[in-house]
This record gives sequence, C-alpha cells and structure tokens, in this order.
Amino acid sequence: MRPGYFIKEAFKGLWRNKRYSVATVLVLVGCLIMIGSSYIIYANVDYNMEKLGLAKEIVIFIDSEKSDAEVAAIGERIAALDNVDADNIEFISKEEALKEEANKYAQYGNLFEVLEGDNPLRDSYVIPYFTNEGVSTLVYQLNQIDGVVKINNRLDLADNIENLKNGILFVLIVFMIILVVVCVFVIVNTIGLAVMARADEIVIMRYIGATGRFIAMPFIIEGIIIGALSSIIAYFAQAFMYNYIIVTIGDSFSIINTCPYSYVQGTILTGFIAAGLFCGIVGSILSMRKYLKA
Amino acid sequence: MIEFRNVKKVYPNGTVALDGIDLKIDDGEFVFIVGGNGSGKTTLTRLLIKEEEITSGEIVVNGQSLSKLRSGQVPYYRRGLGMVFQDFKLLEQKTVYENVAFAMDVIGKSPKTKKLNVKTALELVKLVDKWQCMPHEISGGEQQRLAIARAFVNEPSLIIADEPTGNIDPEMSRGIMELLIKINQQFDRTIIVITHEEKFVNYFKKRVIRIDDGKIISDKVGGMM
Repeated sequence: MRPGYFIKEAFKGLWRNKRYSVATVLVLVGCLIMIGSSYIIYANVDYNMEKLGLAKEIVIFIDSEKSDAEVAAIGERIAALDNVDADNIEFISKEEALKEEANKYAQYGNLFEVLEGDNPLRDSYVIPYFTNEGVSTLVYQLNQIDGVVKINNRLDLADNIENLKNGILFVLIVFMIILVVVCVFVIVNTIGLAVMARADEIVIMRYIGATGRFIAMPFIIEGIIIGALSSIIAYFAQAFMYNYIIVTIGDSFSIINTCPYSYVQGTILTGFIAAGLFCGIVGSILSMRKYLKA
Repeated sequence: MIEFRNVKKVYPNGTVALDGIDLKIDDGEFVFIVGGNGSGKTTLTRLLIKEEEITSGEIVVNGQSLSKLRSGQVPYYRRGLGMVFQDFKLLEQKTVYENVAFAMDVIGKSPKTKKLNVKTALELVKLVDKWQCMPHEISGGEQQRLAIARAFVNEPSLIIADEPTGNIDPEMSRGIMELLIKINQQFDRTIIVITHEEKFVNYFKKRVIRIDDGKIISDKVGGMM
C-alpha cells in the first residue's frame, strides 16, 4: 500500500490546503519564468553574437605576390600556433572571395566581370581560436609571419559582448539563487500548513510506531507535485510569452535577431523541472525535518 | 518487564521532574500511577514512550535499555506499546473501522491480518455494530473504547493509558477501567493507567504507585488508603 498510500495522502493534502497550494504553484511559476527570462536574454546575446560573426575567429589576408605553395606554408605555420583551432581553419582563395562578393552584389555584375582579369582581392584564412585571453599573443604571432599583410579581428567588440554575456550570466545566477530561496521558503510554509492540518494524525502515527520516513513521505511527494506542476506550467507559459515577444520584436525591430524557442527549450525544460523538483523536495524536507529524525 | 533504575529527569529550565525513581513492573501487571499536577507522572510516561530522554539513570523495557535505542529504532520500539489518551486523539475524518485499521496501516500490516485484528479489537470494545460510524456520531465513552481498540489492535505487550477517564462521565469511566482490566486479565497485557481518580484506584484494588514532587512516595497493592 505504501506508494499508493503516499500519493493519495499527498493529493489529499494538496486539496485540503487548495488555496495555499494554488498560491504556491503561482509563486513558483512566477519565479521560474523570471529565471527562464534571464536565461533567454543570455541565450539571445549568444545567438546574436554567432549571427553577427562575432564568434572567436580572426581573418588574415595574404600578400598577393605569394605563390600557392607559400600560401599553403603560411597555413601550416598558422595551424601550429597555440590557441588556434587548427582543424577548423578555413582557406578562402581570392577567386572564391571575388565570387562571393559578386553573388552578394549581383546588381553590379558588369563591374565584377571587369575585375575577373585583375582580381584586387587577396587569399585569406579564417582562423578560429579557443580563448579570448590569448588573442593578443596570437595576433602578434600572426603579424610575425611573412606574407601576412592584414589581420582582421573584432576583439574589442567581442570582448564587450563577452563581458555583457558574463554580466548577464552573473545576474542570472544571483537572481536564480534568490528566487530558488524564495521558492523553497514558500514551499516550506505551504507544507508547514499541511503538517499543521494533520498534526493530530502525525502525533498518533508517532505513538503507534510510524517511522519518520513514513510520516514525511506524503509531504515530500506533495512538494514534488507542487514543484513538477509549477515547472510544467512555467514551461508552457514561457513558450507562449516568448513566442509573443518574438512576433512583436520581429514586427517592430527587424534589426534584432531573436533566437527561436527551440534554441532554448531544452535547457528551459530541463532547468525548470530540475529547479521545481529541487525546491519541492528541499522545501518539504525542511518543513518535515523534525519528523524525519524519529 | 519494565525497570526504572535511579531515573532522574531535569528539564532545561532546571525543573526536576523525576528524582531518583526506582521501579519494577512485571509482565502482565496492572498498575495505577497517581499524583497531583506537576508530580512527575506524565514525565514518567513520556520517558517510557521515548518522547523524552532521561538525565541520568536507566530505563529497561523487556531487556532493552531505552537510552541505548537509536532514533531509527524508536518507532519499532513504540510498536510494542499501545497509547490511550485523555482526549482520545481519534481521526475525525475516518470511520470507527478506519481509525483502528490506521494503526495497522502505519506499520504496514497485510490487509488480511488487518481485517482480522480490527474485527477482534472492535468485538473486544463492543463497537462492531458501529464500524461505519464517524467518531462524532458515537458517545464519549465509545470514543475512548475506540481509542483502546486502536491501542490494542497491534497486540502490544504494554498499554499506557494517560487519564483515560478524564473526559467522560463516571458511569462510562467505570466501563473503561473494566475494559482495561479485561485486556490485562484476558490477554495478559501489562497495563499502566495514569489517573487522579481515587475512587477507581480504591475500587479496583490494584497496585498503586503514588508520585509526588518527582519521587515515589508509596507503592502498594490494594488502593491508595
């Protein structure tokens, strides 16, 4: 009878204190949505960085006088440098670069036809790197390579956005800790009320030899139900709200790229369920701790 | 057998509730513990059911020292006890049958054993006909009989009744005492009754332990006088 009994008692407890149960779920949903919204802002900055090409990469241009063999040798020297993601270095020949530009500016087709005979563009390497910390050294090392005539990197902008991302992440973590504490506190109070409502029953259970675990289990399940229900409601509410915002921003501010909900939904769902269950379990254990002892 | 060996209980505020109690209660005995308010009789009960810890001395129940019980063992120790309270402590939202069955549910007895034991307990307290009633639908005396059935249903070796007649009229009180004596005689259970009702104590001519100011001041068979 144990699992069935515990679940039945948990639902009875929720129903007995239905107003507080609903209030607790609503507070939890609110807190989870705030946590989710902070994460979505963070994810959108990340998404826009990728879109803007502010991923960790440097573009170098090679002297036009260099032969194909020399260009290839330069590529090998670059691949050997520290902090370079050698497997993903991309070589763009001047012919490919011209073709790409021609495609981009198709309305000036005649101009590009003229340039085909005397291509002013240079061969280039797109060099992905691992960490921003070592970029200054990397730029210095690239400058030392004979044949490298120009180095493009958006380190300042990337740094600023990285700092913004880190700032948002910090706020998100602080926010999350505060909200989780609030959630746990609210659940402690709600389960506390359920415990008070069943105080006589608990006294009797103790006297007739019920273990602490047996007494506490329905309340812990009550906390789990509150946490799980809140996380599911919060997930769908977050999806609805975010999709609404995407449509609004899409209509009004076409300059801002918003990531689709599918980009964040896995993390949001996992995070909500984990946070909801954590708050439910911890909150109910805290309110039942004296019964768990004996 | 229950044995108190020089038991002392001092509460954190300095109140000495029990002071050097030495006491032996044999298996199958019926004992009244009497005393005025604040005499220490309730503390004695609380120590016996492991609700409180002794300050010094030792309490041994059936060869087991209560001081050596770990907290996880306490529920299993309590399964050998039955408690009857002055205010009955019945579950108002459960029927007569469910109130008794609940005691068996809590310790995980099988449905078959439960059905059989609950029937036996309700027959003993003459409440079989009212098994579907809610507690508020039966009289005070019947409610206390129901509480006794719940204390009895798990077949404990010891039943402790704390002022069992405190909330019921004298006529019904006598019936309650007779029921406890019947359980003692017919089922050979040890019964400890905490009370201040001298007329019962004298009437039933059982062993009476009188406590005053945390000390046993008399221990004799046959009433208080």
